[in-house]
Amino acid sequence: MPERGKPERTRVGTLADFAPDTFRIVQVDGNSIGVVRTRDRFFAVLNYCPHMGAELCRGTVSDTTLPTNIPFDYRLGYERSVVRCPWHRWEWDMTTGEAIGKTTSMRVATYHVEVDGDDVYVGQRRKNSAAVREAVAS
Amino acid sequence: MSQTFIDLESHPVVASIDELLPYMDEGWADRFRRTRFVLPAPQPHPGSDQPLNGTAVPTDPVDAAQAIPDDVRAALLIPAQVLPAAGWCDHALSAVFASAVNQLLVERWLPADARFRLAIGVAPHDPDLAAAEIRRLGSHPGVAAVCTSVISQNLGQRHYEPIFAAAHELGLPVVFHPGGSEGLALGAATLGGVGPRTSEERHALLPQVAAVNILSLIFDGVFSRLPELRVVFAGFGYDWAVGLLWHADMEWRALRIDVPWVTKEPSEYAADHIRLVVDDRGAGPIEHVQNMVANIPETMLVYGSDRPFSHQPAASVLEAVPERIRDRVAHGNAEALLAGRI
Repeated sequence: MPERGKPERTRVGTLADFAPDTFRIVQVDGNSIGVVRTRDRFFAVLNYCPHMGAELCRGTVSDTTLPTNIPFDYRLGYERSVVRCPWHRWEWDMTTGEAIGKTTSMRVATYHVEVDGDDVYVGQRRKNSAAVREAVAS
Repeated sequence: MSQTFIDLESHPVVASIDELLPYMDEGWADRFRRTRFVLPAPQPHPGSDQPLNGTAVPTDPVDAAQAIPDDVRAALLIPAQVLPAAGWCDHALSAVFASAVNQLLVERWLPADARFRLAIGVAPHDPDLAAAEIRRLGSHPGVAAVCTSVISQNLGQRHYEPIFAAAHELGLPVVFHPGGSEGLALGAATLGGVGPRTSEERHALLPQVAAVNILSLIFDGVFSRLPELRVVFAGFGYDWAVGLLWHADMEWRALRIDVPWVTKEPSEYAADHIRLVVDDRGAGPIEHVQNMVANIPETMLVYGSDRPFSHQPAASVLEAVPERIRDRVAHGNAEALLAGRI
């Protein structure tokens, strides 16, 4: 349920406003949030790296190497769902807000994004990363 | 009950090459004799020039055993005279020499005191010969580890894999100890810059060999390939580890993308797989060393006497360790490391 008095979602632009893999910074409820359209999805994350407070969305959107038990086995995954902080290169999974490879228990705040016709909206902050992962997987 | 100790760095000393000749084939014995092979001197951290303070080094195993205090429950024999072989050009000769030393220790030293355990000495430059020696002796009940020195390849490189694989297969930890040529010779493990000019520099920089190789073992994924392997660094000091591991953890958070097989903090791999011998090389005032040591994973530290080259009592060595982990360092961590072999 949305908090009382707050809109359930905030319009942040039209589809044409979002170039691929390029963050668009928007203000929602006083928060700076980066919204990005990748090949087939939208992500929205708080523009604040929980590590040292960098403007996270000045970083890059990319794939990254999948955790593995096999040395020198470089396999890419997390298709365009990783944001890499420009300051210390910490990688965050924009789907769950978690650090890739569990390098830290810190998490970046992520938000629902909705596309309604040509309009793009940022919704409520996501809460349960496990539930998010399941939802994305399904 | 008063404190007891397991000593992971006790050096047996062979008095002369003549003692070793019966433990090699006749043809090889002839070659050692004919070429006037010079047995490496029993020096602390071979290659250094520290005097032995006029103290006679026991070369008879019974005498050596008698010099070990009663509160030492087990002593791992690290044949330091084998380790300079890491700097020798003749790989086959190095292997024969190491094997003769090992056999002498098995036949003459192990029976001399129930506390003695052997770390099989191997020369590292021919890893297949080294692995064969490990397999030859690794199931002997008096054997508890392998020991060797680092050469110019880092430990995470494939070169050492036969050695690690053999040790892993037999459940033996691998102890690395300075061989004497570090930073001094081409093909030896390097120290920072272009190498130290003086012994003072070399001694102060020797921890670099351990530091570089701890990170190589972790970042090159050796413990992913050999998940039960334990590696001990003896004679390299230990107090520097806290800074190394802190930086390694931070770099991993930034650059995990380059090492996706490193799936937990480097310091966690170190806590699980790396052991550092706490000897008398802790630097500086006790309270400062204690502060540094307090932030090293407590499973990593194990006691070693460096006998007969050091005479500092164990209790005094362990003053550098915070009291809460003193039992672990004195014997608990070593018991876990050598489980079933002491």
